[in-house]
Amino acid sequence: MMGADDAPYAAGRLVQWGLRNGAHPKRNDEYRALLARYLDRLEFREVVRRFAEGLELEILEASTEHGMVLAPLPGSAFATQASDYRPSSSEDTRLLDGLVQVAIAATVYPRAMDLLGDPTTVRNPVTVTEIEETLRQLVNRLDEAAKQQPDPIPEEAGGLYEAWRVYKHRQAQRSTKDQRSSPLSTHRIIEYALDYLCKQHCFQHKGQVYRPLWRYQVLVQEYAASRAHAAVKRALNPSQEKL
Amino acid sequence: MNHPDRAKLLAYAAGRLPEAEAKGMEAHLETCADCAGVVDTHLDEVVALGRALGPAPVPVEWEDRLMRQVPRPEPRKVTWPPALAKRSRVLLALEPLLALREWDARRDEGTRHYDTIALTLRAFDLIVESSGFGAEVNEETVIRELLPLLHQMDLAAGVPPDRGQHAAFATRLLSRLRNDEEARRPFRATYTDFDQGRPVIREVAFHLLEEQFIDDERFALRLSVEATNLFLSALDFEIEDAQAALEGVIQSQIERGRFEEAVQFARDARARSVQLQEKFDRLLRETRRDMRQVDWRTDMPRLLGEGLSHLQGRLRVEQEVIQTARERLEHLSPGSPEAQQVARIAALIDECFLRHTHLHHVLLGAREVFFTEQDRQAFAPRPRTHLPDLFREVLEPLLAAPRDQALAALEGEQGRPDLPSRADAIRAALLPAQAPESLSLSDLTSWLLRPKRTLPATSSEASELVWEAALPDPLHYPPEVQASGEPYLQRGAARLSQVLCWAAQDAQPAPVLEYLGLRALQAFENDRPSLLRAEQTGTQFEAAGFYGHDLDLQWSAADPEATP
Repeated sequence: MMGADDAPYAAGRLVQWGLRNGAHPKRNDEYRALLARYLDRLEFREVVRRFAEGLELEILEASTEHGMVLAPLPGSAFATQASDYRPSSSEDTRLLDGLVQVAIAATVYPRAMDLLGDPTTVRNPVTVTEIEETLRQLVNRLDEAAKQQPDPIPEEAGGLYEAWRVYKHRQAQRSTKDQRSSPLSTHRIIEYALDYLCKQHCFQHKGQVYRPLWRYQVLVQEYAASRAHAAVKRALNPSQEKL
Repeated sequence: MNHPDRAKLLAYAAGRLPEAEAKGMEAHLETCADCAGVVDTHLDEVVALGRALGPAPVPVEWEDRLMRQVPRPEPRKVTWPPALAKRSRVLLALEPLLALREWDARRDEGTRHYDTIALTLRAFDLIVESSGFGAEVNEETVIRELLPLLHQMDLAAGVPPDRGQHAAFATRLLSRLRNDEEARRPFRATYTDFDQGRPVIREVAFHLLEEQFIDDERFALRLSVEATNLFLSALDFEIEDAQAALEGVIQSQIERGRFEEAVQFARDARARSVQLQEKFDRLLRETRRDMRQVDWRTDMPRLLGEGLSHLQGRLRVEQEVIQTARERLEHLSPGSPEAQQVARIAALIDECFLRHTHLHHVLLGAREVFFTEQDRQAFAPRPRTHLPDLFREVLEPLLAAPRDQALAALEGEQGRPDLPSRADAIRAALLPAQAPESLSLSDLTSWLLRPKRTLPATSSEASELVWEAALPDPLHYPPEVQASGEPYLQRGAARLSQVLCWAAQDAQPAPVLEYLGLRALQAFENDRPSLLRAEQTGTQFEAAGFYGHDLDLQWSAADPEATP
């Protein structure tokens, strides 16, 4: 029987607070006290770290002002699955969903040096149009470059159909028969991505503008940017996997 | 006397005699006037010839040899006080503000008259005044405060004020001060410093305005140290020194009764105390993130030592200022403007005192933070080995890759079976951890065993209507209203408009008129047995406050009371 005052129990309590999107130490005394203990007591910090590690979670940042940010390690049960993100979607839509998430991060952090900034300093807000235009420009540039090359092999004959072509063939704005915006247009996919991040307390939506929050800034700066780069290298250069 | 021959004399005059012979010749010429005359004549001829020929170029090697023999003055040592470099850095913070002045000149006529420097100073003033314990201002608040200034600038320039344009302009101004165009990176400028007498070009990076998270969903605008230095006119001082100077001034002003100025200085002192706290908060935060970003070998111990001694001094002075303010308050009439100002000064300095007490406690524990972080970070793995350019190194390669490979990179092992297990998935990394949904069997069972809810009936069998005796009127009209209205209907065949006019002419109250209208409608609907019949006339009417289609009203012949 575990007492409420022993370290493993307290570590579990702290991790569960960290997993709650809406939890904030300013609004919850227990959360704030656990964070203070985590920051002040090295032995407790180690218990929490090991506890999180067992759950395949990485503690990215903890502060009594803002809370705790946890990242799911590869393959973790706490990682967002494709079906959690958008139930029943085609491969192309899943691809676009992923590309849009990368584009959002890249728009917030346009250069490598920006990732070195203090996460408590608010970064520029983004808009759906801005991300859409950024992606379209990249796609158009790749399209121009491809015109100099021979025609691509159809996807059925080897899967050499590039990702940018999927984006290019999706309309930016498409209306349904009843004049509603189609959920599969790139504009709506970007909107969906930003709204999803708002639900996760990573962005704040106000009018046309989406502002990145501390939680998102910590996640990208401390974890996601370098992981994304490693994943690209691994997946796009199969020869390196064997090294 | 033996005289030298003429050739020897001419050789001496030309300076071609060997040194030993030349000395003997000089001794002879001192005693022999004839020989000296020959030499002088020859020399005069040579000089005349030289003048006739004009100046001859001096051989370069002669000049070099001569210049080497000229004694040179020692070069003066360069003196460059370190304070000058510090002032250079502070002055360079003016560069973005001066760029605003250029922007004024470049704008279109509709907005050219807005003085951005004045607006910037007002924004800075608001931010400084409100910085402190959770009373920070955000962008919307600053814009709201700038609107009246822009309005007045429009009026002065004879331009019709436009509130929408004002808000847009204030937003653009704040955006420039934050350097939004450059993704809020610091402004950069170069200056010359001297290192051991040699000029060195150095670069300074600084912010003017920053936005900070207050909590998970609120932001506040903050002035950088550089902007604070500029705004508070303290080019010569670091934060700590400026604070000491300000508090000295406040005490002197209170003693001299200059309360209005003292209030302004007290506000500045508070801004300084906030800056000081932020400076150390930032250093400790950086230490917790990555202690290699902070110089704990030399800079940090020095800063902590200076900070602690500075704070001890501040706490003592602040207590004295508060005490002086209280003593002055005793001699002022309660509620007077002077008393209010002194109370305001005391409150501001008291706030500084509280903040410094807290900061003193933080600094005392700072070394512990360092040792703790050293233990924690010394052997911690560094996951952030490479900071990528997300556009160039992640997004572009993904877009250019074949679709299947890009999907594999985005979804990890879900998207590509041949990847090693537990491969990174980009999309999962970009989304925070969230608790997975898990099935609770007990909850499911209890849900399944709930009694079935009765569904609301969507339709029901219509039972045959049983008409009771016809109700001549709706029940909610009292009998006296019905009694007043009925005679108008009994007058025989008439139009509804006519019936309403009769009642209105008799000054019947509104309920009576409504009752008549309702009776006519009931007769027209014909959905209940009634002897009163109503048919459309095809014309519209407007009378006695009613309008609509007019109706012909008449009683059936079976009605015994229908006869007029």
